[in-house]
Amino acid sequence: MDPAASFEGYVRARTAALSRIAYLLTADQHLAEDLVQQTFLRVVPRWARVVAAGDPDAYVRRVLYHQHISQWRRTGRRRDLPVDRAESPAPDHSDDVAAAVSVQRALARLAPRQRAVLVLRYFEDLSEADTAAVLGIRVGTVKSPARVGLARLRALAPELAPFRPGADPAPRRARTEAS
Amino acid sequence: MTEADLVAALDRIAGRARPARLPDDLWARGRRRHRRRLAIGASVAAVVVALVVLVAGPALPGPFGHRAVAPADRDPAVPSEVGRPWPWQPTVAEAPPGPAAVLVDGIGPFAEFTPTSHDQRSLAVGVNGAYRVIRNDDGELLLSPDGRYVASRSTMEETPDWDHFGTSILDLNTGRVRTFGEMSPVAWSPDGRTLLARITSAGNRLVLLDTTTGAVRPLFDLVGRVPEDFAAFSPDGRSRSDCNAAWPVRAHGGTTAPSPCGSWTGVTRRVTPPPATPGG
Repeated sequence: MDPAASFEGYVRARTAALSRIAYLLTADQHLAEDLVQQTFLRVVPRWARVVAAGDPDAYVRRVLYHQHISQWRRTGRRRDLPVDRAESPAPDHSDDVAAAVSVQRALARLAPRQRAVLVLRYFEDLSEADTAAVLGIRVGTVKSPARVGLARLRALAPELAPFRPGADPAPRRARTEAS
Repeated sequence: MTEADLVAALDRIAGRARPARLPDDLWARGRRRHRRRLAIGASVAAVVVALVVLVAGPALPGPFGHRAVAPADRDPAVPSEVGRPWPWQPTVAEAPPGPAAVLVDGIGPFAEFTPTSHDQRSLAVGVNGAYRVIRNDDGELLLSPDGRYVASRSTMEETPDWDHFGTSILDLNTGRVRTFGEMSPVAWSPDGRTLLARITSAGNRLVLLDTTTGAVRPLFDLVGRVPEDFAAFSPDGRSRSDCNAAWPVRAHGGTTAPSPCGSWTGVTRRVTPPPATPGG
């Protein structure tokens, strides 16, 4: 298939999913859009090889996470990201919404790699090894951001208290396998 | 809040994301951006080379703001300190330093300053005290025991194929890069000829890459959460031992090799878990 056509097909199929990840990472609709677009632009030159390697999604997601961390570095290391006003719990005070808002605000105050690790582990449901593969770091390097990120989440959002500091985060798959 | 609540909260947050609005000519824009970045990278490299040659010579010793580095006289030595390089420090491709005593990578202002087509910069300090920049796209590099080669899971310096998606090995003697298949370097053998690597595209497999021939020899599939970053060659280079509380294994030449924390059986090529009880 023509690489351009293949790429455009991929973009159509995966934009929504990648936008969700980008939004979790940036906490802002506009930043998320920019992150997704920059990711696709970076992938274009390597698209033919990425497709030939067999798993373009893994590569694109890896670029997205790296791009997220790079953007944070280049924009002056803002540790606190703006959280969309639309996320305000004003119209709905249910526990679920309140928890989501707390988590989003806490996430926005984490370092980008910590945030990325938590999103990969708890949203994308990846193992530590797969998380390390996406971020291009060693498995041992995943443990620290995950542990510190959870500890900070717990400190920033007291309702996260049941997470024990130092405990290895277990994603959905791990819980499913254990049950 | 439980883990399930956290997962639900993330799902709820993500559900509010709207699909990114993208331009119709995304592919053409990507191609134009790529050509532009290559041109900028070539221009910057040319300027750096000109500055180095005209102003300071091809081998600037010493870090910015620090005293010059004195090369070791006889015995191999590691610098007592590594300073921040000059902004115009040559790259390995521009002026190969020879074997390195120290490789500095990771994050930091130096590593993140990337005006060219690469995402990261690392620093090689030659055994002769020369500082050289290694432009790369990964940030986690492995230096061979003899200091001559640097391995990365992505592109470095003037990788022949910019689109390469796999392991690269940079020769610090020549500045040239050789590329191999898609795998993540784990550890160098003591002689610097073999690279223990992990392939994740087909499960999670440990392999040996002969860097002289490019031959890849599968070892075994990793089962469970094996901390492969703890893997290392023994000093004699004949075994690779991994020992970690999570899932330790020991590989020894294709035969069963008992270890205090687990074993690898060459016949079945399966990683077996550690005994349930100490000494069991």
